[in-house]
Amino acid sequence: MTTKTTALRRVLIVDDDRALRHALAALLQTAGYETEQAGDGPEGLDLLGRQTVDCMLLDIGLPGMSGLDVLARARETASPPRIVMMTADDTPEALLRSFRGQAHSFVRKPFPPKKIVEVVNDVLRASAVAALPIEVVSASPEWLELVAPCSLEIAERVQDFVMQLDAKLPDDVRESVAQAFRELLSNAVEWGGRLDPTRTVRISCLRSKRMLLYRISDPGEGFDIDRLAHAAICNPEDDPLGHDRVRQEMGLRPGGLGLVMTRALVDELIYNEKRNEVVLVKYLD
Amino acid sequence: MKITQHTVGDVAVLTPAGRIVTEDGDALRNVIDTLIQQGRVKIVLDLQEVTYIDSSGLGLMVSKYVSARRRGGDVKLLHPTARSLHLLGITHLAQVFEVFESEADAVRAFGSSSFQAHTL
Repeated sequence: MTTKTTALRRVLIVDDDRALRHALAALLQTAGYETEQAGDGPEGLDLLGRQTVDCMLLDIGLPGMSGLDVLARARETASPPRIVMMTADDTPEALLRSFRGQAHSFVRKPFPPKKIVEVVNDVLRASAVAALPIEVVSASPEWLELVAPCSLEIAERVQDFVMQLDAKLPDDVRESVAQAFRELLSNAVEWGGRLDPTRTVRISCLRSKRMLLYRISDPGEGFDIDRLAHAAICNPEDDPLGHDRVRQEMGLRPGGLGLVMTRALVDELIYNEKRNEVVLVKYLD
Repeated sequence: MKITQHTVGDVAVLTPAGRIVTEDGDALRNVIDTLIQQGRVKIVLDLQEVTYIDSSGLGLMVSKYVSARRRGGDVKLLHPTARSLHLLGITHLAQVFEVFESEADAVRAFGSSSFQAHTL
């Protein structure tokens, strides 16, 4: 069913592949969006200047002015749209430059037709907080370092980008690392940052030939492992629901499984003394 | 998240599609809460269309399992993906949830449910 909200949203598709542009427009119109199309960067920017656009699907490999240049110019407009970069270029550099340019999301071509509708739905459903800028301290493929506002939506945006850097890893490794990273980052923004987007987490992602290392530092006070009876990591082996009883007594929402899950998914999980900074390591050989 | 629901006898079979995660868990929570409030505490959760579960999603499943068991019912899992099974294993929840590959078997299992498996 098309909702009133999506029916009012306008998506601008900027791609020099006319057939793809038309196919995407048809899919998005069926999903309830208004669409505009442009075959190159200047035409896209001209359209942006003349009407309100909620989301822009932007190909990186445009003739003449590249999609990354269009991204930079579009971000400078008075009311920049949320921008989804599209590319067949599977090198980390394209992804990292998109991220540095504050693209909201990134899609590799080719993609299944319905994926683009899902991506646009997700991007436009996200709150204004999700579009806050993320500071890119380092954007080399071997060392990505970010400072991000404490929000679950931004954490998801970061995770989406970071995990695309690991797209060539074996599925089981990629899924394990992605899940562990998501759990720790969610903990950092929720418990360390109290979901306050004026506070930030610092995230480092280091890649070597033989390991992945992620470090997350949150602005909280840390925690005492001996006072985590509400977390499954403290459950006796024969009582996997012990933490849930404690959480109910404390009035906490269901959960408490993040640490026990993360510890099993990675090879090393190391906290600093205060426990407001954590390093996870996954060995690749 | 889209959730389809059908009933087999007094058992409610729920098929959520999408992710069971912090941000998207409310729909499933609300559907199960409504069932339990109506006294429909025999629940099969069909996971075949679930693409991702995070720790909050697992926590939600635990919470609803506990609620149903306290009222004499149960939450049983159907068609978990290999990834879901792995998560159940590493969180020790494989000791908690009964898992089935056939809806008929899952529904039939309510006939022999025991309330003694875990202290709630």
